[in-house]
Amino acid sequence: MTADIQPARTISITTTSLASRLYGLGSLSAKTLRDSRRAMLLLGGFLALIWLISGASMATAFGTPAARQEAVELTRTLPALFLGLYGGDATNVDTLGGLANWRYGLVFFVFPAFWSILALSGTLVGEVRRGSMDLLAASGLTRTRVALEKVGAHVAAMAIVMLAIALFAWLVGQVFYTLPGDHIALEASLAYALAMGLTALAGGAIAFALAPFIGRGGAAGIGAAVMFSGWIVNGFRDTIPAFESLAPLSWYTWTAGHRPIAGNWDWPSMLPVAVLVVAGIAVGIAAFIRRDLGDIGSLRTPSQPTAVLGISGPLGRSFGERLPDALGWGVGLGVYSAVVGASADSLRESLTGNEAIQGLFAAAFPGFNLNEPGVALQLMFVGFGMLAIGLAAAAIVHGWSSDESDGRLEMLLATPQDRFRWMIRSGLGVFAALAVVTLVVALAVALGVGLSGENPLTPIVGTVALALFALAVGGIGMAIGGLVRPSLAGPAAALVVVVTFLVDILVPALQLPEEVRQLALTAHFGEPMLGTWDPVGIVLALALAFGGLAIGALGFARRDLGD
Amino acid sequence: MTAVIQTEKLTKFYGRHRGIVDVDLEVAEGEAFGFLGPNGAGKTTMIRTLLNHIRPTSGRATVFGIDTTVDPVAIHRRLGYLPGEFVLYDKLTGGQTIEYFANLQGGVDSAYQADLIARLDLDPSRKFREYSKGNKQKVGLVVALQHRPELLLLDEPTSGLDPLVQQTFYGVIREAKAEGRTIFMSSHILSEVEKTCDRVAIIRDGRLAKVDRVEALRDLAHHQVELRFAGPVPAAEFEGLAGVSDVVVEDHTLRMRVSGPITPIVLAAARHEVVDFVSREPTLEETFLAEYGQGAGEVA
Repeated sequence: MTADIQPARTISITTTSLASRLYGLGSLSAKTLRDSRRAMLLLGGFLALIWLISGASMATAFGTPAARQEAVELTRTLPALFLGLYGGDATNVDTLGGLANWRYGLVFFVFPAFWSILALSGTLVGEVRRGSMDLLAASGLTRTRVALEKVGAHVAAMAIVMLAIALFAWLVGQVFYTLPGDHIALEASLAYALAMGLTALAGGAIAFALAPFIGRGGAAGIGAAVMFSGWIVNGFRDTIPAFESLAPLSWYTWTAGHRPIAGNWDWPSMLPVAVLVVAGIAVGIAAFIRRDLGDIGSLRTPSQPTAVLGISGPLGRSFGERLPDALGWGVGLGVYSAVVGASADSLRESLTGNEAIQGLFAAAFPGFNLNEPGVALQLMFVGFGMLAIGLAAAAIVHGWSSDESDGRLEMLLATPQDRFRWMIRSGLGVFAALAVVTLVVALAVALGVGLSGENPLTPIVGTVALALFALAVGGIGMAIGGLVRPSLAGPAAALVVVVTFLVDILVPALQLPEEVRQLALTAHFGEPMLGTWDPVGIVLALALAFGGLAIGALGFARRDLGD
Repeated sequence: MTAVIQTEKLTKFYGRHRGIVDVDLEVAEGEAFGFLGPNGAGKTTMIRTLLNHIRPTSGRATVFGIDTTVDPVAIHRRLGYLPGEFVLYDKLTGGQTIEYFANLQGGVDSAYQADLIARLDLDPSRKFREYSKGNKQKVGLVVALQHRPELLLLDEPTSGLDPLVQQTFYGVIREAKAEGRTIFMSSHILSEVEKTCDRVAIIRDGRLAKVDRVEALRDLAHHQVELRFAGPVPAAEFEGLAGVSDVVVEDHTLRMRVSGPITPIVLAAARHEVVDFVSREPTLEETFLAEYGQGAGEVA
């Protein structure tokens, strides 16, 4: 045998291109930006669509000076409750920018903030939890650099989305220009986008600062609560006396005078928001640097009682696992429904106190009985409630699908459990959790309507429409998850909800045929808060729910386990 | 003896990607069977196909004489399974997780369950998410064993366990075997398979390369020897020694494979200034692959 003498090897070092250092796998920030691409596209696409709706509705429904005047009158005489939900002030609504700012302020300011909260609450803590931070922190990068690159990438992602939206808003102003004042100056759209992005980052910065101390879930929850309650407090500061003293704490109040697309400028008001963002990020980075890697606190919440943990079988386990989320969604939605439910009286007074508005209202909602206790809920809650409970259903279905996508079923289905039956039972657990969401909302409705001195029975029964919609969404999600793959269950359900929501708002805005609106399941429930029901919606929702579950179970029993 | 596991030309493809190809295998009742192969060879695919978690592309598999695709629940009723990697419910404690699986099995002997928990030194009161990898593995082992299944399917069962608990595990497996239960386990550890298994199969690139009794391993035993010299490497002196093969020289280092006694190597090395001497027993997988790695061999 002869020896194999190996020659000395030449060493070649891999190189990284500038492009991949900016976006891709060339640097930590580039990878973080790459990981954000779907969220950027979703948020950017959604905001662009809202701008398109604003432009189109301004050109069609409010194309004449007289129609614009009607819009102005409407905002002046609308109950404060309506204005509060839209963010309060209605400025220059006779212009495209003013109307978009007033009508869609909630979308423009709250949706990006939710994204920022979700992203920043987990950008470091999520990596720590997964264990990948151990590798990152040992890769030669300092912890400060790791934190700065991760946060910087999110700020860059937000800036890209906002820049794109600013350009789109400017373009909409050019394309849908109908009357003087409709043009949106590029400077104004850029300034407005900067305000949107910076206020969004404020919520994210709070979540980022808290995450090392209380974990991702708690930080995101508190960040979202602070942000959204700030929006509500600002919107209702003139309506609810108790909010007057809280309003100065809200960054939406600080910046209420800075709405460049509506013609209002107040640059100095942005300064404290910028300070808040920098401070929040600095606290988060300092905590990340100083604490042991992996030392993440958690928000102390009461333990789930053993009786509802559901360890007796798949149905109970599925329900028990989803119960905390169901209660969270129920309480969040319930608070809102209670406030709206309690306002039936003031709404009625506002609508009946002005003949012009009463006429407008009667034309818009023929046959609407203003004396019904659920009138405020039907007008101001059902639409949003359907969106919210639909998203709750999508989130709960996503949790359900994680049994398979995370690998729990690998062991579970090695026990004597038939796959079809397992899916039916665990799916019924999901439905039970959605029933809990509705039950909490129903209790809140009862409280709200009861406080206004009305009989809450009809509105309580009306909340069943929310449950039906949620069950239908859940059934669709589980059908997709069972037939195709588990990771599609939640996104498919969320897509159904978002498309339904868009159909609901696009049809009137773009004056599309009523047949298009009939495509949305939500168009088939009647006016449930007023006691008027459409059996078509009930049957359709139940068929989608239980039919979807059965189809999903059949598909699941026939395909390979795993994503 | 009755075959508990039997496969005929069992094949699984994931789209265009190969899982396992034409696997013919038989595991007898009461036998402890080791299943070896490099990463991606098809070990987990084989186990998941036996469980009917994934369906064969062609061929068939029976467990307890039941076709895995016809009545998997009847099979699951009689087996215990520990996956290579698994996730369970973060919010449940270890004890609650074990209880849940006991319920899914239709009830277990609580004394035996408690005995397993005690022997594996598991604290069942902690939340699953708080456990280390080794403790999670212990929970998985209790879940797999607590209902005294007739067949144990174990994928890397001692991964993450400390040496003391590993010994306990081997004890439990020996007991199971003594009670006549069948064990099918994948492993990378020679000593583990030697301690627990009667026969071993090697799978490579999805195909069964060899099936043999564990005793045959000892005949294949060899050492990987590495010598680092202060001066030039006297490779020729070692190439001629009995049992030496695969000699490789790199700078001042000499590597070789030695079958049989190592004394001639030590004596030859002593004639030179040796800076370092390392003798390593190869893993079972390396041993088998070195012997049978060139294409699929016969199946005993």
